[in-house]
Amino acid sequence: MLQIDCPWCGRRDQTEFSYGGEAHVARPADPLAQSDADWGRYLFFRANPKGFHHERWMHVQGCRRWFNLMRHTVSNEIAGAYRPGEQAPRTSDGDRER
Amino acid sequence: MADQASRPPDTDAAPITGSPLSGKPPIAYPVSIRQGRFEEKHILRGSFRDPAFPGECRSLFSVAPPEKVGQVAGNDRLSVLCLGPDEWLVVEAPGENAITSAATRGETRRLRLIQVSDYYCGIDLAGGSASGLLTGVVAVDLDPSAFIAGSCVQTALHHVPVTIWRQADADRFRIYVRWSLAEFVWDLLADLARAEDPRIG
Amino acid sequence: MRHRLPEGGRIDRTRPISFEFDGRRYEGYPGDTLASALLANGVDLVARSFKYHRPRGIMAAGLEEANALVRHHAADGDEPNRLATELLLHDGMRASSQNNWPGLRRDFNAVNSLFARFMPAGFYYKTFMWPNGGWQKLYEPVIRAASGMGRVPDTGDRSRYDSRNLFCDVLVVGAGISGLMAALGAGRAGARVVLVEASHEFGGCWLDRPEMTIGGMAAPAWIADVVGELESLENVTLLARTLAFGYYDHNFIAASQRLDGAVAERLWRIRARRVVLATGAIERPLVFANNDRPGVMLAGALQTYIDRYAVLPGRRVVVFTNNDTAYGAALSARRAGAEVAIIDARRELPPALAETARETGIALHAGSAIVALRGKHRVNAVRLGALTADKSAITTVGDWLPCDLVAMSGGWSPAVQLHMQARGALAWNDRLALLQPSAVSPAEPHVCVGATNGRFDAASCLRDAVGRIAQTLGEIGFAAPPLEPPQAPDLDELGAIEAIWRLPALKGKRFHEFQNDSTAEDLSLAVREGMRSIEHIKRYTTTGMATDQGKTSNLNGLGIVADELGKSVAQVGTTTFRPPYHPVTLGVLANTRRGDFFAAARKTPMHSWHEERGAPMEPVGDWLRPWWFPEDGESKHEAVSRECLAVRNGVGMADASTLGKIDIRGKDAAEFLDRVYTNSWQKLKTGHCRYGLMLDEQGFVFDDGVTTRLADDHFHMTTTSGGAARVMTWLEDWLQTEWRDLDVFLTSVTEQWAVVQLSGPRSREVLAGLTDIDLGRDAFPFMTMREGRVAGVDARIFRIGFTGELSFEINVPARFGLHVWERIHAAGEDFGITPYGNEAMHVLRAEKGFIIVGQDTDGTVTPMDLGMDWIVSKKKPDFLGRRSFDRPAIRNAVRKHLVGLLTEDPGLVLPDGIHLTETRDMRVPATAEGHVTSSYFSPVLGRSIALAMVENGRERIGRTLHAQMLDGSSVPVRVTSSVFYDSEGVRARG
Repeated sequence: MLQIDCPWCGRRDQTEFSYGGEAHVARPADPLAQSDADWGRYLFFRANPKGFHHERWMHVQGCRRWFNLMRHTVSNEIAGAYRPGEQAPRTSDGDRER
Repeated sequence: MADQASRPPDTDAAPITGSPLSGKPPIAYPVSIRQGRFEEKHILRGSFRDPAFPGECRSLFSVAPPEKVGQVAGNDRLSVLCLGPDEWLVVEAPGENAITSAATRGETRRLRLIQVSDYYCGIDLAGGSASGLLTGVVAVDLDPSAFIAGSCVQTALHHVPVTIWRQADADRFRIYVRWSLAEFVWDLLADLARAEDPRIG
Repeated sequence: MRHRLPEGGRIDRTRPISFEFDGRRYEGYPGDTLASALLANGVDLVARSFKYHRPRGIMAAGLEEANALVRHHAADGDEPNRLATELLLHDGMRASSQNNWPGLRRDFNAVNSLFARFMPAGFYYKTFMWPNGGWQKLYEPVIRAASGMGRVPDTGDRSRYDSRNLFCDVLVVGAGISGLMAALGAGRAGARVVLVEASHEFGGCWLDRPEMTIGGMAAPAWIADVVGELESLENVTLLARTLAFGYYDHNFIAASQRLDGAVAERLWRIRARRVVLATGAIERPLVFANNDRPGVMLAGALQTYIDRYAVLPGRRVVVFTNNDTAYGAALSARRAGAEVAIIDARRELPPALAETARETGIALHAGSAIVALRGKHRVNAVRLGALTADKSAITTVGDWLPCDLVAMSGGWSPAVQLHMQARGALAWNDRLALLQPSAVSPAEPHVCVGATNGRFDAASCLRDAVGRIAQTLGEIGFAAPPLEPPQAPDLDELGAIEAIWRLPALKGKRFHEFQNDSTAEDLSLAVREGMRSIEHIKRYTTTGMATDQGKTSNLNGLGIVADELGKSVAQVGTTTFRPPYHPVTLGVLANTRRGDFFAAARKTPMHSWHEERGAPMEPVGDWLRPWWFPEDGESKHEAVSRECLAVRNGVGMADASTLGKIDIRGKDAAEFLDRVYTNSWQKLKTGHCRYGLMLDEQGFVFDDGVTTRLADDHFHMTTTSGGAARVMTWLEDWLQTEWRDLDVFLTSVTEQWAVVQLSGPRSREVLAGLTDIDLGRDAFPFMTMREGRVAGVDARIFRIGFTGELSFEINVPARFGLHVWERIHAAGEDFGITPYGNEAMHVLRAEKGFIIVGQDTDGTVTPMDLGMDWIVSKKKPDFLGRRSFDRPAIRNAVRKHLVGLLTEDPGLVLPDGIHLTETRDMRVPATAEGHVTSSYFSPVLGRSIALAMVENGRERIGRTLHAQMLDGSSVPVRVTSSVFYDSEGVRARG
């Protein structure tokens, strides 16, 4: 069971949170101008990395805030949590994705 | 449990207030479990990005809203619990209703105050074994160094969302749970207490 | 007790206790396990093996026991598959053997042994194929009866279980001398320490070594000292009888503790900043002919039975080994008075130990092996053979050597299961012939100490523990404690081990895995059949499965496979150890989530009133809602009809408190609503209500509700009862992540308000007497809200409803809910007011064609599919879901539409979900034209109605389709409008 650092409440068990999929998938500024393919990408296509994944979690049993997490999809190592609008932390080898 | 309403009598008979914990006898041993008395409560919404916000709060509450989630500020008339970066639970002491009255008079228009007096019910847990009982159903670190006296946490109690307010006396806890789940939480705590000491009926 | 030694052992001889096994009574002592007591009483046969039903005895002394699985008849219910070596003996204990019929000695299924050559590993993949019908009638029932180990109890588990959450700085798993040392170090440093130990005593194997000294004291005394100090430290928690069975993400460890009080077992859920694994090592058997017979056991186990339990299970002992540790067992047995011979597979014997052995009269055979074994229900003789230099074959064969006990040792495997569960890596240690821990995952920081770390002498175990705990404490910000490793023997107990994975045999099966009856021959077969990966070989041979999980068999199996494949053990690799390390009861996993506390049921403020009326409850999401209110022995149908007609003709009242309610504040509130709903909100007047459909970004309906404007910057939104949490999460997501610049705050107020739904042509008359609000048609129009007092309580009344009749939705603070409900009920008596439940509410809304999201919609339905084009704004440039309307699959495709259905037979109520076809006769494969989403008997129409999603439904109104019933018949239905009653919508506006 993961331990997740809510940026506001601190370290809590995974069961207090709800997973929200890949982070930084911005809603297109002008949806009606999107092609079907691009709109489809926005709706359905998500990254599936073997490595650090930027993802969203909501603290449903706590402060009810959405935030972002960098989690390694193989080891579950968590590199850091950051609030919407903040920059992602750097991973240990200095490689920051996105 | 019937209680005198804090309302002036009407052409109808005075309304009877209900409680989800009516008829639950308090438990004394090994942990004290009692229903909290009725308190006027509001959710305060606002942001520190608004420079006027702290001042407006101070003038209404006489207390500045705490900035960090989990902190509690207060005086003997009310307490302000920080639930989120823009959300506080304002609890007036039993018998007090200054905020509600001010709201009725329209004096709180500049602040976003949402009436939740009935939304949350209080259950008081006290005694040396209170902390131990809670470790069975709450998965946050309850050590006094981690969950300090006079602070609060929002978490799950046996999968039920609750706000736990640890009082100045570190062995006393006020648990706020939604009306619909109050009876369940009470029954669960009572059952666990009974298992510790079968003397409880 | 013919095998009990006259003195010694950690048993209490002053209090003999009696117990029963397979119906016979025996005696034992406190401190015994069931296994030690059975051995003391000369009981060798305790089980029949899983597949071949071979006679089996006790082969170990701890949780690595693979044979002696018994059924424990506990006070709170039978427990199958308990290890006899783990059951602490108590007075009156009763247990039975398993997997035999009619009895242990004359087991019918032992006949399986005769067919053993037809039942090698994986035989079931190649058999039972013909005839096809044979499966149901013959193969399955027979196999089902014969398979499995143990029988599920007939009665429920009456034990009580609970759980505890525990946080600490350092968790130490295992309280042998290494674990004790680590715990002491962490405790003295002031860290929060938890020490868990599976057995009921702390100290591990050194409890049995009073002749060994640690720190100048006898080992047991040193242990008692350390435990005493740990007990005195407030920051240290000691948990005995607590088995850590799972090591999960981020140092979350689950452990199960057996207790003796009101609670039978407790689940400890431990979150540790650092973990120290001091789980020791497990002895391996040697793989030789008939090594599974009763009377053959692990050498370390023999030593434990002698030293700890004062039991010598045999008089003529043969010790067969490839390492030095077994010499300890040989010496213990000799001291206890047995005749002992040591068969050492190595040509070079350890000089000092060999000398000591000879001095005590032990016969020694170097470079030899047991190549045959006699005695089916108890070993009675072994045959020795001289081994070639590479140990693969025999040169000469000796005579039969009579014996009644064989103690074997093939080496020791560090118990690395928890380390591997924590994604730790293993490295092959050639000198010690074992796999030991190597790399550790950063997400599960831990260290392994002592024998777990491949240390086999006390001095280096203690040094290891001290060093590693200092390092661990440093990592988490604690200063190293004042702690020196005490003086301890420096003996390398393992010696110069020579790994040999299987011995040559003259005759007889060579078992490497006792619990699943897996032999060396099976492993060779798997390789011959083409298996190469150890994962495949494991599954093909079932080696290392079930409760044993390879504790004694893993490395021998790997070694044999490596030999077969011509690879090294390191190259073959090992299968992944997964939790649980050892069997865990379902009871302790469920602990308090049982019975009344399995799931929380949410109740409204009026719940007690409904219960008193005997209303059956329907679960709606987490809530309990009254289903119908039966009167005078009414059936469900009668009650629902009465309720519906009362609402249509008179007045009804329903508890609508469960609906989700969200308070929306902020100057951008209307803009926010414009974005999340399909219709427009900016111009909605204060005090007015509007129905809204909420779509996901695919354009599909996922919730609906009425939202009311309370002020310029203040709205009250309602959602479905079951969707409230989901809607809140969805809305907060947009506000917090995408639209952070909007000044909007959402606060749930679902439970602040109790809601009484008053509905029917006479509802106004009932309410008028209770309120100061002017309820007149013009003063209080349809779809508006008024504030005032009802029954003396401040209230908000919304003129909205779900029945299609004149309705008032009265919201009061929850604590007045019951009061207001009762006052309305009293005021309505003269009008025949009728409480109505969920079922009636469903029927009434269906008569009006009102959808229930999640029943008439399924997440793939657009507003246009529902015929609700009117609710989709043409003016708004964008809202959530809008872009998806332009997808070809929505804009250009033929879609299913919501329509009504009327059966030809007005009394026939179609089942929910039934499919519709064009033609009456359905030939498979048939095209489904649609399905029924809601179906009821309508009291006001006096006939059945249904709502359905039908392909191009609106174009087919008037046509006939056929409902394909589950019994194969079909029913003609006419497609109609989805509104069956008051199609002008006049009655609600009254």
